[in-house]
Amino acid sequence: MQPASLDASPGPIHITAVTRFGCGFLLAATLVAAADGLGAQCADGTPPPCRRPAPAGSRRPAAAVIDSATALVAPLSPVGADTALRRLAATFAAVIAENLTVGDVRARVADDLVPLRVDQRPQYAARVRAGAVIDGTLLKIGTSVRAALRLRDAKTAEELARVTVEGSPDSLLTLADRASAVLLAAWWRRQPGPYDRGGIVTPSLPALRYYITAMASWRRGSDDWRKLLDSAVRADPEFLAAWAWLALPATTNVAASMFGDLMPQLIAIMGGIDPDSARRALPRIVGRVSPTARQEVFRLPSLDLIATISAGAFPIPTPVEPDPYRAWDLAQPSVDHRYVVAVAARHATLAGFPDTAADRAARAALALDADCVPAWRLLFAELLDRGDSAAVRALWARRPKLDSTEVADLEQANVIRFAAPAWIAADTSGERVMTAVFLSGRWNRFHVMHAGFPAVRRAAQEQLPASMHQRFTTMMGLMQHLPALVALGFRDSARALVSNAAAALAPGAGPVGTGDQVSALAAWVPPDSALLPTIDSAAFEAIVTSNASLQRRSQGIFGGNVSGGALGLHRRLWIGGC
Amino acid sequence: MLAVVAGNLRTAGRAAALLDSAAREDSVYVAPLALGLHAEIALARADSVAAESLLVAALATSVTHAPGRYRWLLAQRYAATNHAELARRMTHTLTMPSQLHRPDDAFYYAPALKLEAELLDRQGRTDEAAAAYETFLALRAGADASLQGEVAVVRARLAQIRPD
Repeated sequence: MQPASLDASPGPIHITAVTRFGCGFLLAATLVAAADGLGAQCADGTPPPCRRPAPAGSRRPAAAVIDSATALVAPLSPVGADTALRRLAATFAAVIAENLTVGDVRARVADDLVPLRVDQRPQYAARVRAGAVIDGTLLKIGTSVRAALRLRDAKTAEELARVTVEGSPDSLLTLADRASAVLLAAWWRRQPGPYDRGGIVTPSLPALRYYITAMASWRRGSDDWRKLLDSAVRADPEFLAAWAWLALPATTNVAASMFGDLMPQLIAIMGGIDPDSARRALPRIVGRVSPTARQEVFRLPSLDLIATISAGAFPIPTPVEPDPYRAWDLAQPSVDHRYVVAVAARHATLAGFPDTAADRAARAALALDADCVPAWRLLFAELLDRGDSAAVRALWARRPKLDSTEVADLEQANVIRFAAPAWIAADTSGERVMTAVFLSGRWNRFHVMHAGFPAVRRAAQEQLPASMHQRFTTMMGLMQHLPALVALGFRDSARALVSNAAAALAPGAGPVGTGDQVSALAAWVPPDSALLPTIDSAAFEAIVTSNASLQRRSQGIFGGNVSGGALGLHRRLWIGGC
Repeated sequence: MLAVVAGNLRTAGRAAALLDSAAREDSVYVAPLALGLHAEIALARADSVAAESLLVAALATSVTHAPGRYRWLLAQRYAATNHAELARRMTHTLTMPSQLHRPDDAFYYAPALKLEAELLDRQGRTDEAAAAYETFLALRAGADASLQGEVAVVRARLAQIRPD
């Protein structure tokens, strides 16, 4: 960490280091300044103000260039003739200037502003090409000091922010930090660019600085933006905007580059959680994308967070096929916050960063609302994945109200997760074994899948009409047994299974839409596994020609009756909101 | 995809057009498949950059509804372009136990496990690499004879990094 450096030469005090929280020196300067007149001196023995050389390797020039991203900070006007108060006012301004230098914004103390009238200061700032001016007063009230500051636009003199802080002179740095958080948020929000910066709400200056640095880092394409956001949420665990960014799947960051400046803008909105900002910004964005792209953009999982965050402030295009598991109940912001945190952690897990934050956050959501079903589901899935049977049992005892189908699904999932393969193989009750076979794929237990399949076939033969059981076992074979055979390296068996399935599903083999069934086979079998000697080029044409309804077909494969219960469970565990 | 594998890109192109059309009506299930098929076609045309972008787009459209195959293809791309850590993370999404797996993820489990082990090995994370190699060996212990050569190679590598 680089310390701040003050050049105490005559004229303005220049902040020359970027990194904040070279507070040690500033604190020393503050205390020295406050104690002025009591014979205090700097560490080098010279009288205050203290001088400190620029740190080696500082990437900033001694005096930063003034531009429209620069705010000039006038030393606060002390109310009264107290010399110590004058010192405190100057130091306060220096701390503010340092705090406001981060990412693409900066600030510097400008003593030239002092002799000017308050109404002349914005004009002066505009003349030297600064973007804003910060000034104010420092007042002593009893044993406390009160600082009142405002941020004004240099060109228009419009007041962008106003803040008053009060406390002991000993806590001057804390007071300056509190004031800085308000001013910095307002000043950063004011910066031009394709990014919506609204809704960044945090009382923590470190969190805000980390967040702004992360945004700058993200735009540069640096990889450290996630770490910076991690730091931001550590500094302020309630910083929803930072959590929303962290909720981005790792891949979305890459996908963002495909959309040019459009996607960053969308994502920045997601970072800006203020519904009004989103409502203003979104129509402009939507107008720039084609209908198809628009639909795709809105289906990005991360952008579901916009819906969460914006609380219905703008209409989300309704999917042709409404998915009940995507419904968000946005009535409880605090629960939503926890849920967003949980989703963030879940994405982190998916990206290969094992993290227990998902279950912690889901627990927090449940503590706030015991009926938050999505959070309960998420926690259930996390504990199940982790194999913590005791925790799963305890959670099961506290389950919220669920529909009976889901209860059955989850009970099966619970049993199967912890059941021994031998127990599964010995159980021929059909449904349970089928579910075991299905769910074993979730936990990479391919030997269980393989061992359970004969029982599935036997159960189907016993329980289904003859006209159905062949098709059923064929589809089950493709859906469940084939992946297990491939994973286990039983290629010959896999090839035979595909050949038999192709024959069973060939046109004329059954009453159910044969084109769809062949398509299902074609869509299912991995094309790179050399398992497909029975599909010839004529079949390709047949597939394309007969496929009048891909939507129905995909429903048939993924949401149909073959193993719909467990698939439904899968979907419910993943998708949902409080 | 079958057409792509068979080199019949004309048919694949027609299917892709159909999928594009269907994706307008069903952006949840079909859109990832449409993007994925375009990626497969791009791969067949050796346009790996476009393929990578399309695969990423398919995954970003829906992590849960995009086939595991796309993650596997992307992992291979990352591994081939010296993004070892990205590749490892992508393979790990296929090898980690999870409620989020689709059954077809299993098609890519074994090669992903092997690639993950190799990447860990390359990164010097020997213990983790050894554990992944062992899992692979346990999985493929009874594999067909045609695959035993690969198993033997892995067994030999495991013996090198964990002599005991």
